[in-house]
Amino acid sequence: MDKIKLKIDGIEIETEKGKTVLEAALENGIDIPVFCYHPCLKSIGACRICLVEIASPRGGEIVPWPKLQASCATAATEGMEVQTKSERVVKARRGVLEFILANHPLDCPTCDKGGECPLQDTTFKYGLDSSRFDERKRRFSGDTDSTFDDLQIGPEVIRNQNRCIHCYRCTRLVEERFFEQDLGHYQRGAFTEILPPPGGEIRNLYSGNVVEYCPVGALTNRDWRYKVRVWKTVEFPTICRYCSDGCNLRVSVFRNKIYRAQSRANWSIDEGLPCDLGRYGYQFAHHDDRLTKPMIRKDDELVESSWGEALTVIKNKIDETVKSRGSSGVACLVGESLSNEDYYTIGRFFRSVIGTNSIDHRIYRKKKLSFGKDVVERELCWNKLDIADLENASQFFIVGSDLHSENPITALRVLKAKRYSNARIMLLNPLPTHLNRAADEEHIYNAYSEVFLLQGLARLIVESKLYDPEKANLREDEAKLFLKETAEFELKTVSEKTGLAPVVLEALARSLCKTEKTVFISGENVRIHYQRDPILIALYNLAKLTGNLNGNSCGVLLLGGESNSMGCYLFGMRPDRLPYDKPFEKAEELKAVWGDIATDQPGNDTIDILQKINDEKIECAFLLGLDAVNHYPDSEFINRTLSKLDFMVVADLFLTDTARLADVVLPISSHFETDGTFVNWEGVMQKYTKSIKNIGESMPLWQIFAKLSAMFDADFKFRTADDVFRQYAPMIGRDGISRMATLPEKGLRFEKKKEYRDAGLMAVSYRQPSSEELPLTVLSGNGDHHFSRNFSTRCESLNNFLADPYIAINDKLAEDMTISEGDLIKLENSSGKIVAKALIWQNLPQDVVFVPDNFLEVKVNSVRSKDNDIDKVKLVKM
Amino acid sequence: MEKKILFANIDDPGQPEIDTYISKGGYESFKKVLKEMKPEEVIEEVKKSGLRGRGGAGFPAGMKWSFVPKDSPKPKYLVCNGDESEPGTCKDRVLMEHDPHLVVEGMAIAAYAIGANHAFIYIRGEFDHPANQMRKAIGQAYDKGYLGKNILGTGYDLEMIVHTGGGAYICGEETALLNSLEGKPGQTRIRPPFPAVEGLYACPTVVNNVETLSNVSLIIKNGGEWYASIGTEKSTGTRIFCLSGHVKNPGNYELELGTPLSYLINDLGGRVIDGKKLKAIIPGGSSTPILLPDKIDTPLDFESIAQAGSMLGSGGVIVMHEDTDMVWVARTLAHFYMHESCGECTPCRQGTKWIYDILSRITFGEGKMDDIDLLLDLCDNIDGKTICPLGDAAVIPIRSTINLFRNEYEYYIKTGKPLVNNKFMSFV
Amino acid sequence: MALSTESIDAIKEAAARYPHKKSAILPALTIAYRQIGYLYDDLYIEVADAIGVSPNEVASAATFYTMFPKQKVGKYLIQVCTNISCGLMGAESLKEYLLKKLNVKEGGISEDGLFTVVSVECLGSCTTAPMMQVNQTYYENLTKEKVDEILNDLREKG
Ligand SMILES: Cc1cc2nc3c(=O)[nH]c(=O)nc-3n(C[C@H](O)[C@H](O)[C@H](O)COP(=O)(O)O)c2cc1C
Ligand code: SF4
Ligand code: FES
Repeated sequence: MDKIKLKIDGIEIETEKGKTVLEAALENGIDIPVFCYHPCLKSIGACRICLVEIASPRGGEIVPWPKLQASCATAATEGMEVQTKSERVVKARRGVLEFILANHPLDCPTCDKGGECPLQDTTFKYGLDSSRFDERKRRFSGDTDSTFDDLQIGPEVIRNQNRCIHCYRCTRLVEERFFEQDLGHYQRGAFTEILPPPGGEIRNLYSGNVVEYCPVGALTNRDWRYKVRVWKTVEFPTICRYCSDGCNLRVSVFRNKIYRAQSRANWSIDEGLPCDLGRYGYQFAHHDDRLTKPMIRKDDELVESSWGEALTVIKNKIDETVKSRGSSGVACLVGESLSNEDYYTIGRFFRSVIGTNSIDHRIYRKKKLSFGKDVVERELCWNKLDIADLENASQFFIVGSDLHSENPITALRVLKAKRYSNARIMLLNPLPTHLNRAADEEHIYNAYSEVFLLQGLARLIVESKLYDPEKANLREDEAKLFLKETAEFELKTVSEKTGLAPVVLEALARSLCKTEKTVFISGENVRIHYQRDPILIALYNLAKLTGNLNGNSCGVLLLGGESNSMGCYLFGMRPDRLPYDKPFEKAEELKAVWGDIATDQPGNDTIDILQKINDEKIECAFLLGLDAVNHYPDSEFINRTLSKLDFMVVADLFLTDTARLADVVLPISSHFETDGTFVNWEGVMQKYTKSIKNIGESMPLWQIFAKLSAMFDADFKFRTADDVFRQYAPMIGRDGISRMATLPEKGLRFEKKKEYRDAGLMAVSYRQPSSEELPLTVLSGNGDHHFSRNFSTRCESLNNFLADPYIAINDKLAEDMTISEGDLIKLENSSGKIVAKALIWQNLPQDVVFVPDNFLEVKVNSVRSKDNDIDKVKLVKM
Repeated sequence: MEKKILFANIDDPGQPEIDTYISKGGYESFKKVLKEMKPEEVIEEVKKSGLRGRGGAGFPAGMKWSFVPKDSPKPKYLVCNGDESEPGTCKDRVLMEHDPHLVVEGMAIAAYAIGANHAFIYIRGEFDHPANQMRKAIGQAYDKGYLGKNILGTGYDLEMIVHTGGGAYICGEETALLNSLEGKPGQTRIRPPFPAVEGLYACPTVVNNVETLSNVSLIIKNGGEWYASIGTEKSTGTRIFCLSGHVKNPGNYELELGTPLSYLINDLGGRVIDGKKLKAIIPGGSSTPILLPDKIDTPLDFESIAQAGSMLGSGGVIVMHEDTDMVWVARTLAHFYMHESCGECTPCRQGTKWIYDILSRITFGEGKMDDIDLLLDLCDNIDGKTICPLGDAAVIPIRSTINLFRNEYEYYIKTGKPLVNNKFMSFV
Repeated sequence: MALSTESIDAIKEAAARYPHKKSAILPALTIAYRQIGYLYDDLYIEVADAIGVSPNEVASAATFYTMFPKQKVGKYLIQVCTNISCGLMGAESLKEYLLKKLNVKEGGISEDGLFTVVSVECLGSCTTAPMMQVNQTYYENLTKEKVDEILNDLREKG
């Protein structure tokens, strides 16, 4: 970076070339007030509060510029001399402020922004004591006496236009960063209004950010309004518990209750723009359904008990099982949004106290995965790129991923690359996804034809010699061999199978080879795909062929997952790995702390565990933070299986369908009620802090297992989450990281970045999926403003966006079957059935139905079969 | 003196037809440019002519064209500004209605000079007839092969599009115009980046006024030196002045730059109506400071008018006689600027409304003596503090009227009535 | 659907002319209001669909530009320039005359549904003041007699 020197208020400062005068000043602690400026937006220089006086060198002299300049929109240049406090500047600034306040209602005592209002603060600091404005204030409501002008403009946003100072931050944010069109400015001049489009609402996935961006109380949150004054609250830093992006948030707490969540900008992750799931998704914490006491099954009914009683029952039952069956009679399944402290303690408990390695988290998989193959996922898809890298990519090839709803913040970076450097976005999915609002191309392929599509493209590139042999690091003979190996992926066949025309495929192949720095992104659709590994390998082939295997801002990503999927993996929640992703052979260090653990053979994975429960070889199971009954692809099977257990412990926040089957239910605390850490998909470990007291008698899982350990005479001595952290900290192997408090504020890259291994082109083959002979394929994913189950649907605000389940069908199909929107329809197959209202979705392929996977009333896994690769159904009008 | 070069054929009713235009040597300049001149040579010739923008700011046209980056891979655009909304101005309309091919040819040459393959003419939405005349002319030019693909076999392509506005003075300002042309509300953009670097669709763009571009084919035909020989040294060529207000013969007059104002008002305009006394002159559209009768001999060129304390602006000369209520003038224009403020920057959006509120109050008989100084201070707080010059323009009539006719304000505030009673304000 | 097929076709044609279709918003609004007489919320949605942009983009542009009536107006929309040059030549009294003669309030519709009178800013006809615009047509150098004649003609046309 080139450096330049300039003087601000006589102080010589150095800054990077390309920065604005404002940025240079702020970096150096020189205060200049701003309203319309925001670091995440292009400057428009509209509010004029940041005016400064500038002189710059010309012909050996320092020449004053005739006009004051908006510092937010003026580049700092070498030798410039800037005045921010001169008489002229002060007069102008006061003038601007007076103009801003002229029509502002000054209703601070009733305004929610009061106490944290940039306009209030700026006025206090720079303003006039009295106003010369003696005219009637401009009123939008028509009621000239009252300042009240509340208009609900979205499920969670309320507008008071009278207070608006026209900085256009909100509308710019929505358009510039979110590529949305649900907020705009209407009319002209002093009468300009902020409004959603006719007949519309502001309801995009990031809509809550406009409230934070508003420097006055013109936009406020329905959620937070009039409930508590900001100065009465205390803020605590936290991390979002939904997707694997890991937004940094802060919650405002008053009398042990969370009243709102706001951004806590982490520039390398969320840039201060969390999605609404993070913003409103805290509400489950205070939901009435929270479990507050342990429960024990007595006479086939769950009744409340004390912790002592519940843990004693567990202890006795474990002892009994181990005595009769050995430790292999016990197994544990965990969810992916628990903390690392939980995982570490759970792992230590099961491995060292009970002595079983039968721990797993991969509950969403249908088919057994050979242990070795999961390495594909690790090798290829993690650790190389991070969110910030995406900003510099020039093309995104997104396959089998609803990136918008699976990783909304990663999606924002993709959009940022599009906005500021015109990166290309290519979407390939079996159904339209909302990222198409900014996509250069969107192609809908036949569901489950990914292997054909991707390996077909790889073959096409080789066959048509579109690749650069040097960049691809590919010899002629390797290419020839590859062509031989991929004979089944001939263009014609690929076109037939995918439903994409040969010209489209050819154009895709060309575009992949033409553009530098492509990032290949896949997501949930690929994660749960029956041919996940071949897909990933084909993506790897494409990355290699296009020269995107290694280097900056390119590569392959497998995204999706939950807030701590990565931690879950890294902390050994698998039958074959130990914490910090250590293989069994490297257990020495761990043994020194844990004592003896069995490392001769791996435990059972999910599939085996369920099988062994069925075979009555596993009698006692723990399901921790996991609603298996609503998750496992075959609800009938999982129900039947879990019912066979002799003893089942479920720990969760709510009485889930799984918990209803349990013998003991333990209430766990949410991540707002304890300290802890998550690892996001990038491999960055971030800490969150205890913000409220535990709800009821709930306890975090690490604490539950620490207590249990003492009952087994193996006391872990974990009194705080930090005790757990301190124990595993040495394994992170970073100097100075010894306690949670020593984790950097903005997270620690727990996993080092590494390059991919170039293992040459790899052959894969397509396997015909097993399925029923039925007309429609079921696809599922997140409904608008929801994520996974049990949490988002327990947040009132999120339900305000979407409260009801639905089944989306194509319009032609609806017409043929005379189904209208809102009619009840049924999906049915040999596994089961689901019933919901019909939603008609024009661009959905005709042979596909989409069901959001978030609602407890409609369990998509009822129509999934664990035995079929893909789930087909027939549609019945009710 | 009157010198008709742009207006040479303005009275010929057949002039809008391409055949008539061609019969008088039309499109010869464009042909010459395409076949014999490199783009840089065209720019050089225009530079030599000294032609300055006729849209208001008077920026040298050739210089503006040379700011377009030659090596940019992006497409380049030419935009002709036919928004003509400055009160007192109606000259571009005459050119577009009566000699549209002169505009088309000028645009085509300019587009060629900057390497643009798309040229737009942005015409204010109310100008239905001028827009139709331009559309017709462009259609004829396409038919004759002067526009379109591979023009006259030279390999040069040029598409020309008429774009009409929707009623917004601010869309005459070039960056607001570009936003408007992109389909957005006509709010302004901060500079830099200048349109020459990042204009329409974020591509290099030149914006020139209709009259400016109308001169171009004449310059190519007769040479830059010829053009430079007309007018004064720094204000070359002619300008069309729109004479309106209290004169006997209002109208559009093309004068050699440097012609005295008195020649326009008295000799061509036939003096003030009804034998009344001249009270004030706005020399360049509503955004220029008012001149008193003692400045009536000022030569109409950029420099002399500046020296007299005003600007040549858009060429709209508005004449007011002794019965004109200057507070009314201020209020009328304050309303205009409030109505037209795009609402983007604070001082203009809020200030124009505040000023209008005060002036309305004064004319309702509720003025206070402090209001006058408050008005002047508000003018200070707007002037030079806004994104675009509309804010600066808005304060000009207020300051001008207060500085020159403060007694009228004081009288109004004291008595609730105007000092002079707008007798002219009756048409019946 | 309020837009006629001709209007929709014309809008689509306009959109195809520009390097970016969004540029067609103003031309499209012009087409729409000339067909319907004024603009309103649902129409923005139709226009947006015809161009292939969002209703927000259309509505936010439409409401910025003041030339398009946003309420029902008479068959003949009479716009009287009341800015400086016309004002100097008696625009206010021209407007008063029209209002009285047509027996309407400013912005209202005359009983026969034919006329609406509004005042507007400078229409670029300053040298021929006072003036008015009736729908698309300019009438200049107005006198009482001329106005009477114009109104009679328009009434006759109906
Ligand atoms: C508020 C405002 C209104 C303007 N209106 C017009 C206009 O109606 N016509 C015009 O040609 N230029 C107008 N301009 C000037 C343009 O911004 C621009 O300078 C001009 O079109 C450039 O052309 P020129 O160099 O040929 O003069 C206006 C400027 C401002 C600030
Ligand atoms: S535009 Fe505003 S905030 Fe902006 S910084 Fe500048 S003037 Fe400032
Ligand atoms: S002032 Fe009326 S047309 Fe210009």
